[in-house]
Order: sequence, then structure tokens, then C-alpha cells
Amino acid sequence: MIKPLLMSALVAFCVGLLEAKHDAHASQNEQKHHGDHKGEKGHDDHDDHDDEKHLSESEHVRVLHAWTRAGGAGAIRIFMEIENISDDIIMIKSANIGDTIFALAGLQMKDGEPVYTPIGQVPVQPGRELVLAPNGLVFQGNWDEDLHVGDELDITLAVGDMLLDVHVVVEAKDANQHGHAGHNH
Amino acid sequence: MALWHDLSPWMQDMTILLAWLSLPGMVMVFLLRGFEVGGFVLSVFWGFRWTNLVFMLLIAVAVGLGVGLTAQERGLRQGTAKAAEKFTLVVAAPGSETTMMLAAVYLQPSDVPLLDGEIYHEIASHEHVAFAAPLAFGDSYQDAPIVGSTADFVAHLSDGRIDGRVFARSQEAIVGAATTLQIGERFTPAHGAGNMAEDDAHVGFSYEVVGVMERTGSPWDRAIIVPVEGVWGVHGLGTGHPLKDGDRIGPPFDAELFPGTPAILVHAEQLWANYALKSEFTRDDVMAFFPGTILAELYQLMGDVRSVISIVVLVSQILVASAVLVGLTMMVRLFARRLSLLMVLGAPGRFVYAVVWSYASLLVLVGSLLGLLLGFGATLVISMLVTQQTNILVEASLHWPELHLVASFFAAMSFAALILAFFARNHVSIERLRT
Repeated sequence: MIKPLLMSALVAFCVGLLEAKHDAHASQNEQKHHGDHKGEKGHDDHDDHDDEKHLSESEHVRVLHAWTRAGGAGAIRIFMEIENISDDIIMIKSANIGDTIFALAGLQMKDGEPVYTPIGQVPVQPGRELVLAPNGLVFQGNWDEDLHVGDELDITLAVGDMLLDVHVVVEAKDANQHGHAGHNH
Repeated sequence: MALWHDLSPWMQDMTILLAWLSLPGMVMVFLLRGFEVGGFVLSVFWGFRWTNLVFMLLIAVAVGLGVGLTAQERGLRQGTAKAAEKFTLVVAAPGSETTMMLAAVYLQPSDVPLLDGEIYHEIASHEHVAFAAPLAFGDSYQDAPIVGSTADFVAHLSDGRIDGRVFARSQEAIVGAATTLQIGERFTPAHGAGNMAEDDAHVGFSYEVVGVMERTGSPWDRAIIVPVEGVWGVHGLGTGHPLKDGDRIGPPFDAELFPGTPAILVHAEQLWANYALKSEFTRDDVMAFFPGTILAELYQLMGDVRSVISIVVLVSQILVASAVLVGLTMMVRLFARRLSLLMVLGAPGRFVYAVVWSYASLLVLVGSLLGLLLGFGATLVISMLVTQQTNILVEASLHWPELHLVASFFAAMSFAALILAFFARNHVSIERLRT
């Protein structure tokens, strides 16, 4: 009798927490988004400047919503959505700002603790998307300056033999997604 | 900062611990230099032993709450994460990742759509996939869920640690270490699980236990794993193979004859391949997810909850500390005359500080150590109960955070004891002997 009750309570607690979190994110995201677009007629009316900030594109790849978290100097992680818009497989390799390299790393559970393990490169099939997000795949490296909300970084993304300039915005230190995530561009 | 980052985690933790302990250490050296206060302090300790015991127990409960909370949260987090370590990438029909994770990893029954044979074939035949194991739920035996899968999955889950052998026919079964079944026993599955299970739905059909997995520390310890062909067959769905194959089990399956599966555990040899596969199999008709990612999100939330509870615990510690200090202030008045007498005999004022501070600090130290034991003991019992009830191996252990907590509490209290000593010094005087 106790066993199912305990497991049910555990499950309800887990689902409740996660759903509450997702609701909070949706609400937060919506509020933030509305705030950012005061005076605009609708979402499709993003001006060119806004698109430039959130979207980088070449003939092979499209990168959307690149962001990182505010924090002190040290290890940082950069997140983004990378879409293969070509007809060939593309290899996502790394990113850099000058001599500073941000390598791909993936989250793994080791001995009950989540750890980021370096990954060389990841192939993306034509028409598919690779999402770099907290608690998953990330670009990871050391940055020797403090980052504050609203700061911006310009990184260069290595995709196969090509390079693509990507604009990274700095979100709050506890953010879990880009302020415009979930909206189509 | 660079020097700090160069230190190993063990060195960093040890440095923090020593830093906390050095604070009362410095006070002790400053106050006690040249004095022998041990005899006097112990006599006071013994003279008011029952009152001291109450103070120490109060401190122990306050410290134990903090220690227990930290240790238990870590034990639960590590236990649930270890249980999910074998499930790197799971593919299912689009829906709730959390529900699917709870079903696939923690064996919580749920009604989810099925993936068809074409998708299974696409995944299983992918160049980066080492093996793709269907996970078919729905039946049970007594309290044990029956899961249909493949021999590859059993080998992966158990790391090959099986007493007996892996199943070779569709009516053979491997059982987890926490089930009551033994090798050679036969059982008839019930349709469904829990109170709604239909015990007589599969009469005439039985599985024979041919192997027992060693304990994995996960809910799979109470599971029964059978060939997925057995689960499909007993429900009249075929076996996923042409009739001419007879009782052959395991992949490859015929995509057209594949009855469907709610989830597929995908195993790739390389970590990068998992991310490539997730990218490839995240689309309108299928979703791929990492249980580890969902758990990491959950742990962040648990951490937030723990932070809130920690504030409550901290407040309780401050309240207890304040109460104990007020109580000790009253206590000191009781032996103020003895201290006054020592001053008449020539003891300096610093001696009064030394005695009162030593007495209060000893009380806090013993109480804190008792709290450490109490917190660990509580964690041990709760972990054992959770493990028994859920089969998720939750281990109780003391780590640096608990030691830092106790050391910081002791350091703060020993500083507060200086105020007490100051108060006592003002009450101890030669005039007091005349009153």
C-alpha cells in the first residue's frame, strides 16, 4: 500500500515541478517578449535590426537565438539553435572569439552527477536542427570578462570548413532559454 | 583566484573547512594562552550535566536538520541519476518527455502512443546506433512490471551480471534481484498492473525464469524482462517476425509485422552520436530525449526547493542558538561566585573570558557533533526506507557540504560565545562575593 503511494507522490512531485517550471518559463517568456516588442503590431513585424541580432544565416546553415548566461569571468556555456538548410550533412565543430575557443560538450550522468564531457563535432542531417541548450549540448570555454544581462558577444561558428559570425546575447544568470525562444522568425 | 582554481576540489573543500575551524582556533589561542581551564570547565560541565544535555540536544536537533536535509537531497539526486545512467537516449512518440522518462526509466505505468515498425527499423539500422531496444509495457506479475525487450537490453542494463542466462525463447524471462522469482519457476502474467490488473487474462500462457540480474539500484530490480515477442504474442499481435521464423527472438524485426512499441532505448558508442541521433529523430512523428537532461532540470528545481527549506533550517538554527545563548547567560550567573572567588585569589579578567568561552564552545562542539551523527542517522534510515519502497538505491553519506555546515555553525556560535563571556566578565567581581 505504501509503495504505490510513495511512488505516486514522487511522480506527482516530479511532474508538478517540471510543469510548474515550464508554465513559469512560458509566462516569463511571453511577458518578456511582449515587453521587448512594445509598439510593434505583431510578431511578424520584427524589424531588420532585431532579426540581425537573433539570426545568422549562410547558404548552408541558419543559427537562431544564440545566448549565454550572465556571470563572473570563468567557464561559460553558449546555447543556440542550429539548422541545416543545405542538402548535405554539415559538421558543427566549435566556436571562437579571437583566440578563445568554445568547444562542444555534452551533458552526461556519471556516478549520479551531471558532468559536461567534451565532444569533437556533431553532424546534422539536411533539414534537421541541432539545439544547444542548458543540461544538454553546449559550447563551453573560458571567458576572462564578467558578463552582465544585456551584454553582447560576437562569436565565429565553425561549421565544416565554413565560418559564420553569430551574435550572442547575455541573459540572466538563471535563465534557461533565450528571451525570444519559441517564436518563429 | 587563479591559485584557488588550480587547487583540486578536495584541497578546496579542506581549505574551506580549515578556514572555518581556524576562527574558533584563533579565539582559543588568544584567550587560553597560559591558562589551564580544563578542570574548571569540566567541573561546570558535570555539575550542570542535565541542563547541559538539554542544550546540547537542542543544538544537535538544529544541526541535524541541516545535515539531514543536505545529505538526503544529495542521496536522492544521486540515486535517481544512477538509476537513469543506462538510459542515455530514449525515442518515443511525440508527447510529454517527463511522462515517458518516468515510464521507461522508473517503470511508472502510463498510456502512451506506439512507434511503428518503419521508425524502429530506421533507428535500429542507423549507422551510429549500436543497438535499439524496444520497451513494451503493460503486463505484470504480482507487484512486478513485465517489460518486453531484447537480449541486448538485458546485457546493457545488467552489464552482463546475470545469474543463469539470457532468454533464448519468447516464453523465457529474466528477473530483477528484488523480485521473489527464482530460476526455473514459471508464472502467468496478468494483463495490466496494480489494482486493475486482470490475473486471468493470459491463462494458459506462462514464462519460465532463466536468469536473475544482479542488483542495479534502480526500479528495474523489481521488474521482469521478457522477449518483446512474448509480450506481443500473448496479446495476439504477432511476433514482429514472419511465421516461417518460428520462435526466433530479437532483431532484426520485419517493419511491416512490427506491432509497435511505446519507447525505444537507443544506445550509441559515442556521445556525439547521441546528439546527432537526437537531432535526427526529433521531428513531427517522433521525439528523442535524454532522461539525464530532464533529471538535471528536475535537480535544479529540487535545488531551489532545498534552498528555500535551507532558509527555514537556518532560521531554526539561529533561534536555537539564540535560545541556548540566553540559557547559558542564566547558567553563568550560577557559577559567577566561583569565578569571583578565583579572581580574589589572583586570576586575571582574561581567565573569566577563557572559562566561559571554553564552556560554551565545548557545549556547542559536542552538540554539533551529535547533530552530525543525528543527521547522518536520520538520512541512513530515510534512505533505507526509500530504497525499500522504490528500489532506487539511495545511499546515505557524509560529504564536505555537511562538514562545512557544522564547522560554520560551530565557528559562528563560538564567536557568539565571546558575547556571553563579555557578559559574564561584567557579572564577576570581588563585590559579588559580598552579596
